[in-house]
Amino acid sequence: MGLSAISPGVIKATIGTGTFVDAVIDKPLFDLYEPLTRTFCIPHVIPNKWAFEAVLPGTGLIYRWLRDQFSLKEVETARSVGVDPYDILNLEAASVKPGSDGLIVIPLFMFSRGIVWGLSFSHTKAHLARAILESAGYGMNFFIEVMGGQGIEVSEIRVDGGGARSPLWRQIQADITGKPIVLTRVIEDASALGAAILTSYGVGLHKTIDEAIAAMVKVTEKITPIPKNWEVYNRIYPKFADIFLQTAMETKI
Amino acid sequence: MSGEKQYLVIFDIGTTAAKTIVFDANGSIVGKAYQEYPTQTPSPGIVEQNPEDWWMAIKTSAKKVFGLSKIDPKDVAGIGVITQRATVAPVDKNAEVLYPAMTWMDARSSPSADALSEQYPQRGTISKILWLKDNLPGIFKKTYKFITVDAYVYHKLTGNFVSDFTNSAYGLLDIIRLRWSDELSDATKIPVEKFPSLLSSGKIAGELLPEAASEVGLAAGTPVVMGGGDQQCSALGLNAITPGIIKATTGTGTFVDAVIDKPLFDLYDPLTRTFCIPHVIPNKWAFEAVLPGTGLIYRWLRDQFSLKEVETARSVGVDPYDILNLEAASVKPGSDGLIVIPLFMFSRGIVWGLSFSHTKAHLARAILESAGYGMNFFIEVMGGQGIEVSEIRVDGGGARSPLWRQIQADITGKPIVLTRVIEDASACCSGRRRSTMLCIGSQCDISRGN
Repeated sequence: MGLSAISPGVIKATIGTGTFVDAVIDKPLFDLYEPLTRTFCIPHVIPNKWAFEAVLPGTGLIYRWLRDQFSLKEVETARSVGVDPYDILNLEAASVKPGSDGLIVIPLFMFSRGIVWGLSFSHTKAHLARAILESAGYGMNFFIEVMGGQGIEVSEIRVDGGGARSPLWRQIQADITGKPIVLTRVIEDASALGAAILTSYGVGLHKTIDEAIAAMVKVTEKITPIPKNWEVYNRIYPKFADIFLQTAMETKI
Repeated sequence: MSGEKQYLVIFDIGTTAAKTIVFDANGSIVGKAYQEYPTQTPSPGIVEQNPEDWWMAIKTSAKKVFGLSKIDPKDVAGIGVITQRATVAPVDKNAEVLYPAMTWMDARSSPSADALSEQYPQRGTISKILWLKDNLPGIFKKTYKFITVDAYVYHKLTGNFVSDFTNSAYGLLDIIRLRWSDELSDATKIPVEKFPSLLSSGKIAGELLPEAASEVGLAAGTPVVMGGGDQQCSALGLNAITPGIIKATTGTGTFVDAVIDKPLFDLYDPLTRTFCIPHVIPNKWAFEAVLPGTGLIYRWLRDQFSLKEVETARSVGVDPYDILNLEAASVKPGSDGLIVIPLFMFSRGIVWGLSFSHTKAHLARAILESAGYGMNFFIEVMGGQGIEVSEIRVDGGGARSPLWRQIQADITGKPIVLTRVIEDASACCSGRRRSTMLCIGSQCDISRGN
């Protein structure tokens, strides 16, 4: 709600420790959890609406794992020049072409089934950094396809969470999903803003929820997919989906 | 043994560097130096070297050795040569290089090379020549000889265009009859005249030319003896040439070799991905399995993900690998479920089973274990061919690590034996004493486990 991702076609994707993708639906499609598509139908905060939610835990944590396990030097440099180590990793990731020269990360670390696939000696840490960012994008795309299978069309993705801070990551998400990625004024506190919207409505500051949203949610950026990159990712995505599904099936996640 | 003419000088042209190693007649190393040369990878799959760089590195390493030691060039009985295999370059009549050497790691292909591979797989030298023929016909036409590394070096040393069977096996060689194959020549339309003359390992290639003698600091006229491919020489240098004893070299890749009396198939068996190639020992063949890239993966871990270790190692004066080994040793056997598939050379390397509890130490150990699993895989393949394995003799940079050796023993269930020479076992075999090769039997000390 804090992202105003509550009308048909507009979904929200939060990347914090994991990726949470939510669409608003008028009626629950099933009772709480659907094992086949591994998705949830849960009541929304908006009256008479439900959320169709897909969760891929660990996506953001993998970037942290890269920082903590393999980037001691970046952390040290970041500290000495006063920047965030992630900014340095993002610079490294940005130096690699879309598609990470064939490197694919399967982000199932939470289930001890994380995979780094397609390694060669020309792959650097920068490739791994980019492949991790891309894996969250592929995961997001996977869920959009699942939603499509349930009849939920997606025309725009509003993002928040720590992962939404990175312009590179946002562009990757746009390029992989082929959808515009929209950023609002609040990046890490969208859920709090959602609560504030409810509160303002509750106390009568705004007469309707829609009015509260219109007054309180401000779009600051809309990134559109770069067609050339989207083509690259379109070619790679089936491979990701193939390994991802196979691994997920094997492990009964 | 009399004091004179007791030294054997070996030039070892490996994948990344040339070494000059001087042995005495007892197989002890009395001098050694090495010089790296660059490898060009202008695009994925293309891995080239400049033959002139090999010669420069030989000269530099030789000067380092003879500049430091008191070895009198007159006391050198002979010169031997060992090389990386299946690397090829076109040269003119004067051995001037017409196109960079396409190394054994080079994966270029062309339609006619692909067609050849269907029928005659793993003839790496021919594939590259066919690529040249398809793409640079002018150079193909101008080529007087296609030379493997050994042929280039023998020509520099003696002026003769010669090559031995272990180097020629990836070209037009008839593996069984040990002569240039008319059948292959017909199939590829590459005339055998474009190749050097064949000579067995251990035979005299020629005498050291005056010009080369002054360049490497040895006496003109010193006999130059045909050596061989690095892996076969290493098997000989480790005395892993009797049934049951195999050798496993972990350098840039893992090379597992058993000695056999007859080739089991023609060069390469696609099903088991193994080779039958001439040995440096007369009338013997090597059954060889190759897993490229194993050692390079550890280097990749060091270069890409261990900047801090490298920095620390430099400041306290140890090898960065020693720090990585300490990290790897801190993890339990099995790396808590982390498995590395070491197919980096084929862009199919995989790190599998990752969780947030896995650290860099886990990855280090899993890389070491992956080479052990690979070795075990090949031992199983050998078993399927009726080759029993009771002992594994190891060499190469990877053999330096006690942890890695223990991992290899623990995975294969076989004793792992180390000899006095760890990185120069292949050099140990080359060289000549009354037309026989050194280091057979008692000449090679087995420091452990024999």
